Amino acid sequence: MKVKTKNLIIVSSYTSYVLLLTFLFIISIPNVHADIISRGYHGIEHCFQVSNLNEYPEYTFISRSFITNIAESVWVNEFLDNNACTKFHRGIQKLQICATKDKINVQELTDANLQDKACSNVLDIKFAGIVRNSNPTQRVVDVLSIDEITDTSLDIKKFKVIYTYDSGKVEELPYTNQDIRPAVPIPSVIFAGRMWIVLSIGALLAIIFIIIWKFIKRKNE
Amino acid sequence: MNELHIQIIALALTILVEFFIVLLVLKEYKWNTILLYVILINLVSFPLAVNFYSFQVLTFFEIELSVFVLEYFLLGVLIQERYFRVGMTILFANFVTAVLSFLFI
Repeated sequence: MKVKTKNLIIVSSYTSYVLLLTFLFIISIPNVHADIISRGYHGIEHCFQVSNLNEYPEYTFISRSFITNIAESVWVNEFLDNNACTKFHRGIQKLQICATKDKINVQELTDANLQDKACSNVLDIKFAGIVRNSNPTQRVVDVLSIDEITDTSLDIKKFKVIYTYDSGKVEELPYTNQDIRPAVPIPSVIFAGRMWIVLSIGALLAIIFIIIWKFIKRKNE
Repeated sequence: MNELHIQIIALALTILVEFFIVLLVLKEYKWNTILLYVILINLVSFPLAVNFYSFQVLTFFEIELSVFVLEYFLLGVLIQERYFRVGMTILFANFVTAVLSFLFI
């Protein structure tokens, strides 16, 4: 009877263990809302520049951003300022740069009007304007570079990315793969994170080992 | 002193405080057994608490509550008896460490 009661306690402990892990898993999932930054994250500036716009003074440049949000997916057309860093909209998916020698005004910035302009290939953009609170990055600037403009096409590439950190440190990394934004891992955070995970799993395994060892010991008594 | 050093010192202090409190209540157990258990349960709960706190996933109170539930469960399954006393001990130990961390944070 005593052994049965003990076994019942151990079984109920394992049930509690599963329930507890489920509870911890559920509460550890950050809240995700369409237009709200989840707890544990914050917004930083993410913008882009075209490094050599000044080399083409006869052209007017227009950026076309494909933005997806909870309500709709739209192309947003804007004039590009030579020196300014153009902010990426939240929900940015794609970017296209168009150039024209014609004088056009804001009202004429429609998709139909831009069809006959020299437009680049569509670049995939991953929004980097939301980071974890532990991330010291303050600003991310994607720098693009125009290789060539013809009457019907514009050849553009992602050139480099400039990270500015809370400490004021600035780091520039060239794009080696057009699909992946280069990033620098933050060594102290990575090391600390891994160290704690290893210690935590090691301790959990040791606890499980002790419980099994005690269980076997009792069974043999 | 960087963040990692502060975390290690905080862990060491938590283990020390909890060890003495658990040792005072669960007198019938050997001190080295208690020390081993307290180290193990804190190695599991501390990284969770630190991550929840630094990423602001949970509030201070929610973190302390989660740590209490986790440590009570772990110490309970390790000792496998006197669950009420274990619960009260862990509750008191965590209350003391929470007050200390609240004072020093």
